[in-house]
Amino acid sequence: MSPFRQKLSAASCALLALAVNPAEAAQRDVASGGNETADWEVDTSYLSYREADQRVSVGKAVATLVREAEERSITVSAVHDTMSGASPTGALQSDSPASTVTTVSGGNSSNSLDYSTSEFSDTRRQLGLGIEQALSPDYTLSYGGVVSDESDYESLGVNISLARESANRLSTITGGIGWIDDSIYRSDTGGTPEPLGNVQQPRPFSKGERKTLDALLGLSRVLNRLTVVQLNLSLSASDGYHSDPYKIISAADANERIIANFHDSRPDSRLRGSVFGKLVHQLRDSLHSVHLSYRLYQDDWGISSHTADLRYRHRLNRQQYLEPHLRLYRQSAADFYQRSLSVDAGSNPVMPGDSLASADYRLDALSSTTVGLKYGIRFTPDAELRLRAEYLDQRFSTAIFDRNSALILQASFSLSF
Amino acid sequence: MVNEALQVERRGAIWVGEFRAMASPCEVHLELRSGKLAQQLLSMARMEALRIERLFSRYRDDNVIHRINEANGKPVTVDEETARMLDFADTCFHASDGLFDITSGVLREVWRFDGSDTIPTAAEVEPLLARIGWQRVTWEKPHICLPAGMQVDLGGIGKEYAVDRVLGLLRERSPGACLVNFGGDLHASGAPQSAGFWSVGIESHGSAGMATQSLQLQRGALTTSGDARRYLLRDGVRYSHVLNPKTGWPVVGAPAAVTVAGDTCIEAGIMSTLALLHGPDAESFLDSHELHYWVQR
Repeated sequence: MSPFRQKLSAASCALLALAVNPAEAAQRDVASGGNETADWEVDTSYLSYREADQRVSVGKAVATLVREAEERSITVSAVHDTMSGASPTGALQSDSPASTVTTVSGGNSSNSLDYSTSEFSDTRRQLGLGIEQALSPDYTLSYGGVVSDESDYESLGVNISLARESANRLSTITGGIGWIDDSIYRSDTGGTPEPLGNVQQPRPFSKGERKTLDALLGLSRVLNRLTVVQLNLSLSASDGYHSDPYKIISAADANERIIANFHDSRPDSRLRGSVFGKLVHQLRDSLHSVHLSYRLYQDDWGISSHTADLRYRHRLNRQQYLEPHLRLYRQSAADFYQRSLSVDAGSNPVMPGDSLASADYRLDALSSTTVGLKYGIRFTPDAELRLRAEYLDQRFSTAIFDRNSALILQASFSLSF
Repeated sequence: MVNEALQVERRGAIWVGEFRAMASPCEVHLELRSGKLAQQLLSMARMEALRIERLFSRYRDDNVIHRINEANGKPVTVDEETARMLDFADTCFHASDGLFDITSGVLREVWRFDGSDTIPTAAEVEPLLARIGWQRVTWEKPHICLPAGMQVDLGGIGKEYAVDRVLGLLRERSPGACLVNFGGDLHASGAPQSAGFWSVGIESHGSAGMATQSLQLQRGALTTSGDARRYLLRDGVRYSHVLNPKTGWPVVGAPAAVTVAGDTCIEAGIMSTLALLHGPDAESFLDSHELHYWVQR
């Protein structure tokens, strides 16, 4: 090295020696948050879901705490739901609903009892933990677990997935599996009623155990600086009790006069598959973006569904955005769905040959439309408030309650520190 | 994202922050997974660039440069960081035999490099020479005393200094590779794992924004000096914005652009500036110092 360059090199070392004055160091620490490279983010939200006619109303409070660091992120989430209302059971409405019911000892209640709705009030608590660990620059391992508890449902789930990013970071492939163990029972009896058993002579059936194995394969790809596409394939196989212990199907004559009411009966396994595609495109030379997704779902109960979802995020300025939302959903009915069981000439209920029957409106052919608007504002780079209002309209093909509508309001606030 | 002045986007494995400082477009590239850390570091990088701009800008009347230039012959006491800059300028002045001189800024009073053909007369340039010359300055750390009428301008090394400083801060805090590019002067701390190198284009002097060739940089600095954007053109003669402080005139026969590789941006910057000042001998000057360089004529 020439003497000139040696002098220059020594002079630049002296110039760039880092410890300068305390004021500057303080300023640097303010800018960088000190040497701390881990970050906390807390996100809290409250959602209110209210169906028309005081049917179902749900209040959902969610708190999520994320600690993000370069190599490992940890997410802890807690959910508290309160649910109440009168949910349609699937039973036909009785001609002369009793305003009160007397029961003789022994438990047989009056024949005129209206089973068409069932009043409920419950609380669900859920706790989740998720860890995302970078294994190498290309591989990320994620794993976690969720426990959930309410008066008639307990659930425990674990999942693990591995994501691999391509060297240029333009595409990611993710594979994962999950295991869920559910216990379902009636909160009044602590068990499940015998499927297709007469409601007035309930017989205990089982504890309502169900196990589910999920598998997911995901691909995402950055097409260009403005467009990202995502494709997910998922499969889910479950085994065990799949009926709903509160749902009822009536046997009725041609005039819909109820002959008897029976408990819901569904297959003891279910295989589900879905394909989900999503496209996010940022409009050229703007911060506005379009989010379009489509999901095709099929299961071995005969339900297939299509979901199309469109969101447009319009940036009002750097701090605020408005996001209109439209969601269209359509599904076919389950093979064993019936509005009611028929009766023969002797007014005896005709029981299905495969012993499967459900009048649960959620298994009916249905179409629904959701329209909504979301507003987000960042007060500081670390604090964001989001407000969302949506209206849901559902139309059922043959269910007793052929229409449902609900108003969904949500407020969420996130803060980083 | 949120900050109007700082644009952040992810390009593959790299987070890129863009902002303006020191009258230049500035870019910082970070190879990081965490978007939050990237945002934080990019914001810190911008703050540091703006801090150095405030400190050494000759367009402000609230900084140390203003105090020195307006002292009218009286001594001024400077802070530690400014003292280091003056020490560095002092070394460069002596080592370059007076070709690098932070007092040559007064030549701008007659030379305006706006792409026009307005060339000053010798009678306009001559009187300025009496107001140029670091040897006339009394620099006894931390006191500096300029003869009345003289000025110092750290603009010639301020941007390169900012690049090295910002990279130093990022290197302390970022687990991944970083690259800082302020107005074409850049410094990288290490090669990104994703690509194995930083791909750096050398801008062609004929067409701003078009790269003539692409380099694969692993670490170190690259600076480019030239008249690609600032020059005067008269009677077919291109007058470079690089002025010889000894004559007061632009260097004749200087390359259109000189790109030099170095360990730090300030070193490379001094060498590319001095190479231009050597005019037709730019290449032999660079060769004599065993530098990696790219010259466009």
